[in-house]
Amino acid sequence: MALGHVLTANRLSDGIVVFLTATSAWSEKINEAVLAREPLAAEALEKRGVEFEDTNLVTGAYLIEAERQGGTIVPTHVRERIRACGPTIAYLGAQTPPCQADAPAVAA
Amino acid sequence: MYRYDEFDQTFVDQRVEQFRSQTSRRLSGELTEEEFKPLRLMNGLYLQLHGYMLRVAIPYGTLSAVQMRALADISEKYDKGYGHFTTRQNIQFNWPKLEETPDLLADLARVEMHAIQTSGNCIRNVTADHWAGVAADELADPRPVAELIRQWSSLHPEFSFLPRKFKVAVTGAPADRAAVKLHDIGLRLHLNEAGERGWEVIVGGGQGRTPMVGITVRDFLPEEELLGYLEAIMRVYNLFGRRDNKYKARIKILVHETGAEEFSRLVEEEYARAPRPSVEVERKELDRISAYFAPPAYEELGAVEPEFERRKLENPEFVRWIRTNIGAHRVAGYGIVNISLKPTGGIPGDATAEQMRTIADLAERFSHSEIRVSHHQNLVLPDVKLSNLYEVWTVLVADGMGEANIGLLGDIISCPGLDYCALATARSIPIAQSISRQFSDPARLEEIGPLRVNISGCINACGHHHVGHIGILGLEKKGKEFYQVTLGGHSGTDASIGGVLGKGFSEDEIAGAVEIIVDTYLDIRENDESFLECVRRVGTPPFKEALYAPA
Repeated sequence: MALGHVLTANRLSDGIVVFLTATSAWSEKINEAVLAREPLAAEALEKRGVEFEDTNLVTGAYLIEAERQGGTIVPTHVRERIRACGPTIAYLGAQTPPCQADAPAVAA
Repeated sequence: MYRYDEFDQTFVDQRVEQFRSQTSRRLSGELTEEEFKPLRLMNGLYLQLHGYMLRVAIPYGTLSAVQMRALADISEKYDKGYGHFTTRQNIQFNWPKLEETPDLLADLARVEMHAIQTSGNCIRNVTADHWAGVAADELADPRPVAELIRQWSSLHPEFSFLPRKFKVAVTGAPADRAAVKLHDIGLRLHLNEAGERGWEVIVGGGQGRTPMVGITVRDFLPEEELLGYLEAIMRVYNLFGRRDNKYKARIKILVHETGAEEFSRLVEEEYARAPRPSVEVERKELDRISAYFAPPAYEELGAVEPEFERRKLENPEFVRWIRTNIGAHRVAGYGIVNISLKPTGGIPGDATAEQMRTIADLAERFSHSEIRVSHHQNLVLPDVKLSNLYEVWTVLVADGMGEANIGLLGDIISCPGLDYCALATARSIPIAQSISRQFSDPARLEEIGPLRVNISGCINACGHHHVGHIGILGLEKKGKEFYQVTLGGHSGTDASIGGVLGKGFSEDEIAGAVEIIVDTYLDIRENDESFLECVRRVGTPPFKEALYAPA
C-alpha cells in the first residue's frame, strides 16, 4: 500500500510513454516498472533516467508518485494515470490499454 | 484557391530537408533535446501526453479535395487512421513518430501543406470566416487579405521571436463567424460610400487565462495600407510587449496595461514614422493573389429546384438537416453545407481517414473540390447546388456525418483535454460526450434553439469556453477533476466573455447541471428569445438558484 515512485519518460524515436523496469529496460507497461519505495531508491532511478537521456533512448524522464494496488501499479495523479493507460475515450486505433496488460508485475 | 508558386514550393521543400537533417542529428544524439525542441516546434511537432503531436496548418481553413485526401493517407500511413480538426481551423495528428515525421512533412509538401508556424512565438495560421467567399451576407471574400498576411508573416524575420504567439482572424461579413474580436488582431471588412474597401482593425482580444474582447484602433483602414499598419502594431507589441512573464506577454495585456487610447497613439506614431512597404506593391500583390480566389463558374439556377422540393416533401429528417446545417449561399440555387463532426457521443472535431475521403469525394463531385474547416471543429462544402443536397446528405448519413445539429447544443466545441494534452488539467472530451448523449434528440435540440457549449480542459481555453453560451472549464484539485461553468459568453459581432456561475461540478454531475440550465431557460424564456438573449436579459441569478438552491 505504501506510496513509491516510478520513473517515466517518452521514447525519443516515437514519443511513446515508457517506464523504467527493474532490469533497466523501458517498458510501455507501467506494471513492469520498478516501484521505488525509499527516497534513495527513487533518487537512483532519477539518475538512471538522466543516463538514458544522455544516450538518447528517451526524453523528458521524471519520477511519478504511484502505489501498487493488487497486481497493478497505479499513479496517484489522474494525469499520470491517463498517461500510463492512454486516452480514456474510445478512439480509433486504440489497443489494449498498456496498464491493463496481463504481464506480471515486476517486484521492486 | 491559392496555389503555391515556385518560391512557396521551394521554401517548403527546403524546410522539410532541413528538418530531416535536424531529426537525424537528434536521433543520433548530435543535438540535445534542449537544442532540438525549438526546431521541432517551429515545424509544428509537439510532445504531448502520449507522444508526439503534429499540428498542420490549414491556411484560413480552406483546403482542396486533393489535400483532404492526402491528410487521410497521412493519418493511415503515419498515425492511427484519424485526425482532429481544431478550433484554429487546423488539423492535428496525435500519434506520429519523430523518426517518420520528416517523411510525413514531405508528403504534406507534395500537396502544398506544412506545419510551419503552428507553434512558437510567431504569427500563427491566419483564420477566417469558414463561409468566406460564399456567404449571402458577405461584402467580399476576405481570403486574399488572409493569404497576403500569411505570405507577409511567414518567416518574417522581425516577427519570428515575439513576446508570445500571435493570432490574426479576418472576416468580410457583418455577421462575425470568425471571432475577430477575440484574436490578437481581428480584421473586419467595411465598404465606404464609394464602394471602396477598408478594414476595421481590432486589437487585443483573446481568451486564455485573461479573456478580453479586442478594441478597435481603426474603423476604416484603406485596404492597401493594411500591411504597413499591421507592421506598426507588431512593432509596438514587439517593443513594449512584456517578456518577463509568459502569462502577461500577449498583446491583450499590453493593450490593457497601456490603455486603449495610449496604445492607439503609439501605433499611429509608429505608423506615421515607419518605413513601410509601398502601397503600389501591396495593391499589385493583392490583385495577383485575388485572382486565385475568383469565384467558380456558377450555373444560373432558379431559387426553387423541383427535385430538391420533392425530396424535402418525402423526408422530414432531410428537412431538419437542411434547416440546421445549410447556410445561405450568395448565389441562387446553391447552399453552404456544414458537415457536423459532432455525432452523438462522438469526439468533437475527430474524423477518420475514411470520412476525410468521403468528404474529399463529395467536394470533387459537388463543391468545386473545395472544403473548409470551421473553428467550431466542423467541415464545410461551400458550393453545393440545392438539387445535389439530398445525395450529399445520404452519403454523409451513411458515413456517420449526417448529424443535424449545427449551432445547436449537440454542436459542442471541445479541446482534446487531458486525454491527449500535456497542458490540460482535466479531460474535456468525455464531458462533451456525456452532454451530447444527454441531448441527443434532434427535435429537442431544435426546440432549445441556438446554444453553444464550449469546453476547455485547462485555463488556456483552446475549447473557447469563455465565449460559450454555456462554457465549461476543466480544473483539478488534489488530483481530481472538476468543472466550472460560465454563462453568457459569445464570439459573434456582439462578443462577450461568460461569467462564472459558482461552485464547480464533478464529471458525473456536469451533464445534469447543463440539463438544469437548459430547463431553466426553457422555463423563463420569452417569445422567441434565444438562450444567449435570455441570459443577457435575466443575468445569472435564476440559473444559480436552479443549480445551487438546496432542494
